[in-house]
Formats: sequence, structure tokens, C-alpha cells
Amino acid sequence: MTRTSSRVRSSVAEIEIGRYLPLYNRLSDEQQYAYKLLLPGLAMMLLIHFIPIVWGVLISVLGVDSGYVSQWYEAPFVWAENYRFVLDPRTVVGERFWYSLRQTVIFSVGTLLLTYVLGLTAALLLNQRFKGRFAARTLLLLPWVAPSVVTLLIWRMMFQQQSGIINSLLLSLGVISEPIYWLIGDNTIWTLILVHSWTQFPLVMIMLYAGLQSIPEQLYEAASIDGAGRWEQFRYITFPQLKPVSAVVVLLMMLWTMINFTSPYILLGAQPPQSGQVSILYIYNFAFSNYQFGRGAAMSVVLFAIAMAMAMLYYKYLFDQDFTEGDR
Amino acid sequence: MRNHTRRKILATTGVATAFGVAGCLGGTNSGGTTLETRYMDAPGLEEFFEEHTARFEDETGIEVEYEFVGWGEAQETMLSDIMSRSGPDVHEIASTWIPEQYDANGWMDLDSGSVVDELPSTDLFTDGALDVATFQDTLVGIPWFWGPRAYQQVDERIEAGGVEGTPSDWDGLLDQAEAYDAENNYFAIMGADFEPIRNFAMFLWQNGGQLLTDDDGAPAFHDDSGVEALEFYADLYAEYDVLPSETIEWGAADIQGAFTGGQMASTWGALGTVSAYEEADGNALDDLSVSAPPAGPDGDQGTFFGMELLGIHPWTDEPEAAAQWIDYLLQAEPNAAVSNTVGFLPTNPDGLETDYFDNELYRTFDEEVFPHARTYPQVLGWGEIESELNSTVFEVLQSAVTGDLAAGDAEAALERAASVAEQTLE
Amino acid sequence: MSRVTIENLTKVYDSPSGSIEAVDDLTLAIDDGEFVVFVGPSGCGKSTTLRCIAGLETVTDGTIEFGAEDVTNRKPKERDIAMVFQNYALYPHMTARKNMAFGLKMSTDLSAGEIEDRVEETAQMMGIEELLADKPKALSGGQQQRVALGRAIVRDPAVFLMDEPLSNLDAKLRAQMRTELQQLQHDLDVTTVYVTHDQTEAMTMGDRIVVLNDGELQQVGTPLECYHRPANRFVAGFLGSPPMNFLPVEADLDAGALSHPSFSLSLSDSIGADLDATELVMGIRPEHGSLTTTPDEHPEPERLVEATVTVTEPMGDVTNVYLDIGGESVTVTAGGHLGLTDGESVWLYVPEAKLHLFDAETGTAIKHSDEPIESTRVSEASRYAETA
Repeated sequence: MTRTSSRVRSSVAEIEIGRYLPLYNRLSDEQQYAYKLLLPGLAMMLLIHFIPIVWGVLISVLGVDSGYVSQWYEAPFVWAENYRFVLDPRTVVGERFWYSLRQTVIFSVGTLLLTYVLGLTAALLLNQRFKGRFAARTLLLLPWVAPSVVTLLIWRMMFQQQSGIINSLLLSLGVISEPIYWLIGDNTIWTLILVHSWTQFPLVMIMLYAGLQSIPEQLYEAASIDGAGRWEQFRYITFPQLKPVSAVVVLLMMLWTMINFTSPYILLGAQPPQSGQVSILYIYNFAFSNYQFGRGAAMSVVLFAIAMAMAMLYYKYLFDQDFTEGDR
Repeated sequence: MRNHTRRKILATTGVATAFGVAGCLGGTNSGGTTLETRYMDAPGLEEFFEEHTARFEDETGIEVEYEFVGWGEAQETMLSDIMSRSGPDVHEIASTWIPEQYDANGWMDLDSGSVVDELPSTDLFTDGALDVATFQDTLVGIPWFWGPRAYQQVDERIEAGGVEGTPSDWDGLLDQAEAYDAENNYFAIMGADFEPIRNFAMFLWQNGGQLLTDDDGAPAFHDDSGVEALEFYADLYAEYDVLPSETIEWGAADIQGAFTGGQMASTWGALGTVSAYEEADGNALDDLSVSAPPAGPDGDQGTFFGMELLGIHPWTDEPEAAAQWIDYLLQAEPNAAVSNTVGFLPTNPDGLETDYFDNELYRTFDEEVFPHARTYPQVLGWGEIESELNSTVFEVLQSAVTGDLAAGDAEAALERAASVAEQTLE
Repeated sequence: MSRVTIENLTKVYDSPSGSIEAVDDLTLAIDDGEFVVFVGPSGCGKSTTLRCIAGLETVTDGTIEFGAEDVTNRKPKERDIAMVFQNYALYPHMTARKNMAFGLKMSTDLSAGEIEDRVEETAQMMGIEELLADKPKALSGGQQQRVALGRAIVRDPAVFLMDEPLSNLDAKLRAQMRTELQQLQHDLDVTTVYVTHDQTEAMTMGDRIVVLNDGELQQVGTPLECYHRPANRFVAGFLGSPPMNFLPVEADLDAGALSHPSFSLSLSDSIGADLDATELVMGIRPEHGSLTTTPDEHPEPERLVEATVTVTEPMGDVTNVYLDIGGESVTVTAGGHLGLTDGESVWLYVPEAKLHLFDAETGTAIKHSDEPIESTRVSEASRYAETA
């Protein structure tokens, strides 16, 4: 056992990277070994993340259209022309793209708020002691575990104006007096948020639930002796204690929603209403309907840049904050 | 010692890989000729190809492999074939994608080289079909099957609603719709969820307009006839209540289902609708009557036709065999069989004489509806214009249904779409 | 400040494998300003009792009164108590200052300024002013302990509840905090209930100690009462280190003697008259036995018991000598300079006055040693502090 592992260790150490990368020789032995171990992972990242990103950025400065689909490398270099075109609000495409970015922000923020509220509520409920807690947890996880294409199509049926169960339910409850169009017109973005949040809140729930479970019971006992009621205990113990996990949840939900394709694509179908055309869907429809890959790539890079900028700002803000309460 | 072993392993692996790669590349050549072919998925095609590839192999010794791709994924799948220059030898062509795919060097010129001798003569086809098949003076595909959209009704149901005959113009349509009063009160539904541009194009043509100018150099859909056509389409929902507002969410399958299932008295559809109707329990072809759509104030009974073609990808190693296979498929019997299966008319006129199309209804389609039929212009950039128009029309219809459509909105929307089209066509 | 009266307190936990009686019919009165220590082994019910007093557990049966008020069913925040937890339970996301201010903020109408003043005042008293801006994570165990105490003190509650507050500290700090806590309690004069499993803390700190075992009250009394007049064999064995020696004996009333297979001890008539059982257990505190190697010179040679030395532990001030008497182990604390070799034969002498006798079956004490129990606590207890 030991012999095998030491043999593996020494054979890893024997790999001579320094021959190809002179800078590598300047690292200490330990660091060199670490890099060798990281190599397979890095190679994977390179293959499935970095190369497509770099390729996308490259395409975005080339005039790739249908004529250059099979020889994209021969497409003319157009500098920032693609960016100028898609970002120019005076053209219809630019206007639509800006509008789609606005809808994307609404989609992300709306989903974030809704999933957080739903997830936190569910997590708090699950954290209570009651019979059937395990079954409830399994049930609550279903929306996230179930194949999203199937559930989204079912939502699509349920939201039909005439035949959908949602409208007939709301009508019979007297909440609305006549059927609402959920998947058509300006309401669409809200329906999208609703449905997407439904598919995503279990993830938030399970993360917050894990966070709740790691809060020592004694803090609540101490607080109740200190005179804190249920709300104050939530306000002064639970919520601050959940801050580290919440920070992660917020970032993930925000970014994942921004680039989510499945929900709008499946829910809104072949003919998505303007209001539901979030950027990723618009980019897809735009680029593929007319082989405008240069411009499509430019839009993708803009979306990517916005997402990255938000993530970085957020991280900076987070690390400026001092939260020692977590397990960091 | 260890180095020796490692070298040996590497050598073995290398040899094995080389064989493997060679096997992949050349495997199809060993023995006889094998063609790879791919078609848009439709019910019944599997059986058709099973039978006819066997028959073709008996005749020629060429083995044909076939697979299907759904309409949803077809465009992307074909794009990745074209980008990687690999994939099937023969592929079904959707006419709307011809310009972009041809521009991307996705199709072989069928009027050249060794293939022209093997393919059916272009004399076989009508000019209309060849127009679609030819892009930038190149024969991109061989017309396979096609079909116009017709006004279809179940006479019995129409009469039960207190109406007689088919409407010949827009006013007639509105009069009938108003008069129509039956329990299954859906009348003349065409839907809007699936490619609403097709319906708009039909109204446009019926009103004497056209999508692009004659030279395909500029948009023409936004002139008065176009605005009127779009407003008429929207008013069918909002103003005249011909199209019940909830049907705006209906997809093609919903409409077809309602028509075949008896909740709807009339619809606009191609032969596929006819087949679906016939196949449903208790229905017979003779219940149906079809006609060209009603004419607009300034035009004819214009309607839309769709066409599918067969093409050869330029990376094929077997162009002659591919051409032979296409030639086989265009013979009257197979051509009629496949057309009947997918709900279209055969492009080979002899196909219409087969048993498959031995019914008055098909003749009506061919002789009375087809002459009014047109299709989209074949021009580079049409894809973008089409998707723009789809969104535009759909937005206008949505506003009509939700009550947000104000006077002038339709015109403004078409103007915007036209500006996109202008930019695209430049 | 308030008097705490516990009557017939019973706490039953339901678990899947049946119900567990954690506290069984406990009745106890704690005087205003008194420092009472609950002591007993793990699972004896001392913490459960404390949590019932705090209101953290619902009571199955019985009542708890603070002063004249029945608080049995009141929430913790309605009881005017403060509690110090074993692992402090400081709020990790709050600074020491906020930790201390939290209770006042929640339970009083004091202004922010007034709260601030009281926190400062308490911090000064505890010597932790310079720690106020730090979060718990930045503090050492001892500092956290002080903040936790400060958090309780600043509330100025009617009752202090402390649940093994010193057990997470190292031995040296623990000894130091013990004295400090006593001093504090004395100065503040607040009724305090202190739970510990450490008999040294029990002996040294409490005005009275409450010995619990298996959810049942064993004895309540001053430390010396419990030590020298244990109510039963459990209390006798639990308090003291090294613990009391127990030897099973039979009372031969006719002969007026206690007989053991290896020896026989004569018994005064006055004691024999009190015996109503013959199966007894004899108890000897290690410090009450004395050893001799020359039995012939002893004034009471008939009361000597022969024994073999198995191990000696010189502690410096005393030496613990482990003896073998007829296969049973007996410990004696002898002088610090005693030199004995392992395996040597010695004679153990126990004055009758220092003997304890217990009913072998019930464990109830029948006879105690005659050690006085009125002497001052500190001087007497300091002997034990060293051996903790």
C-alpha cells in the first residue's frame, strides 16, 4: 500500500515539466509537485472552459457569418465593429439586445429574491421538529431533482390562458375575474421568474438548511434567556449566522440565472414574447436564425463581462466585510 | 527496464489507435458502397426507408444508412456538420435555410460534374419548384415534396353552424364567422404560436403585397397592403372575434388536434392536416372540402407553400451513389409514398397518378390551391428577416389579444422590422 | 434577587426506546443570595434541573417558584435570569460589547447610552475593557469565559444559572476562576445555581451543595456536612479524593464486633444498639486511617488490621498508600515523608469515632464520623483544592 503510493508519488515527481516551461523551475519542489497534481484538473478546465471562452472572444472580433461558418479563421478581422453594432441602441438589434439585458437583470434579481425567500422559508420549516420531516424534505427537493424539461413543459401547460389549471384555479378562488395571459405579453418575465424560482429554490433551501443545522442550539438558548423572542432570535442569531452561506447562495443564484437557458427556452417555446427574451435566449435566437456568429459572440462576451464584473464587485464587497461567524 | 515497458505500451497503444482511426474512416468502404443519409423526423418515415433502402440495395448494391433529426435540432445539427465538414452524404433540405447553408458551402452544385448524369432531369419539375431549388444560379437541391396551405373545412360542421360554402374573400370570411353558431364554435383557426409569419405572408399576398421587392433587394412587407394585412390578422382576434383570443397560445399540434377531434369546423393547413384528419376515428376524407384561402381587397387567394428538397453535402466520397439514391427517391412510386406519408404532394407529377393520391381532394390541392401558392424569397439574410418578422407579428398579435394594441402600432412594428430587413439585405 | 423554591420537580424525556426520567420528584429551596452547587456524575439530572429552572425545558410535573411567583410555565425571558454555558455560547458574529449588551437591549427599555454605561462598568469589574471591540473568535478561552460571565452579570438578574462554566478551562485557570467567581458572587449577592460534575468545585464554591444521582436528590447540605455526614454511601463515595474506602462487614451484635473475613473490629455498645441490620458497609476516609509497622507498640493493638502495601504515591505533602486487605483495596493518606516499600506488611488503625457505617442493602448512613462540621469553610477546604 505504502509502496504503491510512494511509487506513484515519485513517478509524478519525475515528470519533467521544466524542460518545456523554464519558469516552472523557479518554483519550489513542493509547488512543482502541487502543480503536477493539479495538471489533469487544469487540463480539463482548459478544455471545457478557457478554450471556448477565448474562442468566443476571438469570434466576437471577426466577421463570422454564414459565409465563414466552416472557415471561421478566414473571416475578416473587424475590430469592435460587432460590439458597436449590437450595442448601438439606435438599431433594432441593439435596442432588442439592451432590452434583453434589462430583462435579464429583472430575471436574475427576481429569481434571486424569490428563491431566497422560498428557500429560507422552506429551510426554516424543515428545521422544526415534526413528524414526516424527512418525507417533506424529499418532496421539497423534487422540483430541483426532476428533469427540468419535463417540469417546464408541465408549467407551460398549466399557464395556458384558456386551458391552464392556474387560471381556472385563480378564477374559481375569485382572485382574478378573467383569465390572464401568463406566457404572452409583458407578464411573461414574471411567469418566467416564478417558474424558474420554483425549479431552483430547493437548492437554496438545502444550502440554507445545512447552514441552519450548523448553528449551535445553545446560541438560541442564550438568546432566549437574554430575552429574545422568536423574531429577534431570527433577526439576531439565525440571519447573521446564515450570512456566509447566503453570500454564496446569492452569488450562485445571480450568475446561474443570468446564464440560464433551459427555463426560458423550454417555457416560452419557439416564439418567445419580447418580455421573456432574456439575453441568452435572444443571443441564441439571433445567432442561429441567420448564422450571425460574430455578432452573437459579441453579445455573449458582453453578457459574460457583465456577469464577471458583478461577481467581482460582489466578491470585493464580501471580502471587505468582516464576517467571522461562518466556518471560514 | 521500466522505460522499455513504457515504450512498448506506447507503441501498442499507438498502433491500436491508428487501426481504430483507419477503421472509422475507411470502414464504410470495405465491401460495397455505403451512403449515410439523414431526414427530418416524421411518423411513418422509418418504415418507408426500411422498405426502400432494401429495394435500392437490391437494385444497385449500394447500402443506404438513414437517420432522422427533429425540426427543433435540425438547424444546429446541420450547422455543426457544415462547420466540421463531416456528416451524412445526402440530407433533406429545408427550403428556408438554403441561402445561409449554401453560403456556408454546405451543398454541392447538382448541375455539375459526375452527379448531373445520375440525378433526375430538371425537366421533371415545374418552374416554381426549380425556383426554390436554385440559389444564385446554382441547383442546390432536388425538389422532393411540397404542398400548399389551403382553407379546409368539415362541411357537415359548417352547415351545422348555419353557414354554407367556403368564403371567397375576406368579407365573406367575416360574414361567415359572424353567422357561424354551433356548439363547437371554433371557426377558421390558424394559430399564431408557430411561425406566425406564414399566416401574415398569406394575408399579405391576399392583399396584393409582397415580402420583398421583386429583386429581393429591399423589404416590401411594410407598405400599405402589408399594414392592412397585419391589422386584418390582428383584428381577427381583437375586433371580429373570428379567432378566439385563447387560441393565440395554440401550437400547430393543438390546432390540428382540435380540427381532427371535432372542436373546430374549419382551419388553414397543408395536406398534413388532411392526413391527420383522415386518420382520426370516425372521420373520412369525403367529409372535407378544401379551397384556396379567401382573397383580400386588392389581391388574389394567395397562400403559402412549403417544399423539402434533397441535397448532397460537398464532403461526400460517393457523389455518384448519392445522386443515384436521390434519383431513386424521385421515381413516381417512392416519391408518392413518402409525400403521402409526410402529408405533402410529390414533386414528380407522375406521383400524383399513383393510388396514393387517387382522390378528388388531392386534385383540388394540386390544381386549385397550388396555383395561388407562393413561398419565401430565396435571399441571403432571409433567416434574420424571417425571425424578425415572426417576432414582430407575434408581438402585434399578443398586443391585440391583451388589448394593448393601439392604432398605428402595427405600422410602427412593420417599419421596425423593415429597418432590420434593410440592414440585413445591404 | 430571589429565593428559588423547587417542589416535586419531575422531568421525563420521551425517546423512541421509552421514557427516561431525568429528574425524579426533586424538592429543594434555595435561599436568596445563596450559592448552591448541583453536583453529581454525568446523567444525574443536575443540568436538566438547571435547564428547568432556566425555562429551557418544559417541566413534566412539579413547580418552580421565584420568590412568591410561580414561574413553572414561563418563558426564559420572563424569568429574570442569566445563564453561563459550558462552552460560553457567545454570539460569534457580535463583538464582546454587543454580546454583553444584547440581553439589556432585548429585555430592558434602557437607552443605548445607558446600556453602554452598564456594559463598560461590568467590563471594568471583569477586567475585560480592552476586549470589548473583539469578536469571540479573537479571544482566548479564558477571555471568552470572562465575557460570558460579564454578559450574565451585566443583566443584574434575580438568579444566576451556571452550567459547568469552568470545565473548558485548563486546570490552572480553572482554579483561579473558581476563587474569582466565589468572590464575585459574594460581592453581587445574587442567588446562584451552579452545576458541576467536579467535586472540588462543589466543595470549594458552594454555600450548600446538592448531590444528585440518577435523577434523585441524595443530599443537601454545606460541603462539610455532606463530606463528614454523608446521607448515604453514594454521597460518601462521591465527595473526597482519594475517595472513601468501603469494606463489606457483618455486625455480630452478640460479640459486639464488626467482622470481615480478614479481621474483626469491636464495636461500642452505644453504636451496636443503633444497628437494625447485620449486613453493613464500613466506610473509612483515607485521611482517617493511620499506619504502623510496629503493632505491638500501638495503644489499641486489638483494633489494628493487617494489610500489605501494594503501591505508594508520594504527593509531597502527603503520601497515598494503597493497601491490600483480604483481596480488597484500601487507600490511606499518610505523611509526606513516609517511606514504605511495596509488598511490606503494615497495620492499619481506624479510630471508631471516624468510622462510617452504611446499610449494605439501601446504602443509607447508619453512623458518621465525629469530625466537626462547623469549622470555617475556607481553611478546611483549601486542603482539597490542591489535589483537584
